[in-house]
Amino acid sequence: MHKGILFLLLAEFCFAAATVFVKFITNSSAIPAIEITFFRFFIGFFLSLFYIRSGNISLKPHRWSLVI
Amino acid sequence: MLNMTYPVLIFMLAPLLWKQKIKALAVFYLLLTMTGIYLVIRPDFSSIIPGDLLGLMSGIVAAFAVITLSMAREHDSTVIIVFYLMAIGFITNGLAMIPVFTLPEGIQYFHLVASGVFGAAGQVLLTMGYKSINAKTGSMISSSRIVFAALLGFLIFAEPLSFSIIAGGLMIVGAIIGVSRLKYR
Repeated sequence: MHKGILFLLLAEFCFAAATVFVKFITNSSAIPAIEITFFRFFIGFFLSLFYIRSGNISLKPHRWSLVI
Repeated sequence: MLNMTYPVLIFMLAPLLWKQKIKALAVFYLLLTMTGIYLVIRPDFSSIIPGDLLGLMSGIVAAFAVITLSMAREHDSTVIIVFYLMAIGFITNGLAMIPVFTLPEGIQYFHLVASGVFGAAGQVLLTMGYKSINAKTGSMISSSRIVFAALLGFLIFAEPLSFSIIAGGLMIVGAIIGVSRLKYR
């Protein structure tokens, strides 16, 4: 299978799995959707920051307009 | 259903943005995908509510997000794109969350972290994938999320799998197999 398609299929499985845990939360608490979304960005932000710092990667993108 | 219309928008914008010709077979797979999505979700169009407009708007925003992600991936690495996406989301969601913050309890911490890890992993894999496939193909493959969600709903929450859901899921899978045989970039 083409690598890009495999990555996208795995990505969509991960998003669906994330929704399962979201459903567990919304079924059992009054935690608002914005807080659940915040945790996704919070975790992603610190994991990507750790990867960038440990790999000494420049934070400057080649195309600011597209990245932002 | 309406926020899943973005593959159609991307197909409409592709000739303008990338001067790409749309193959008849790709249009067939797009129609197959949208029919499959309809059968899985079975939306009620008998009355239009303001939420429907928001759903359509989120589809338009998603289309532009996929297009800019596909374009950004030609110039920058996965980690840089993911970092800025997460940084912007972290700040904006953090500010919006403050007035409504609710302290989680017990197992809810695990569910929040698990949701965050899977969501972040999904974003990384999505960004990696767009390195080698175009926005049109990618947007159709993204509809597989509905199939995965239906399967997980059945396995974990014992949600019913109707004939309509199975038929729609098979159509989406068929369209993905078909589109994966086309040229990607």
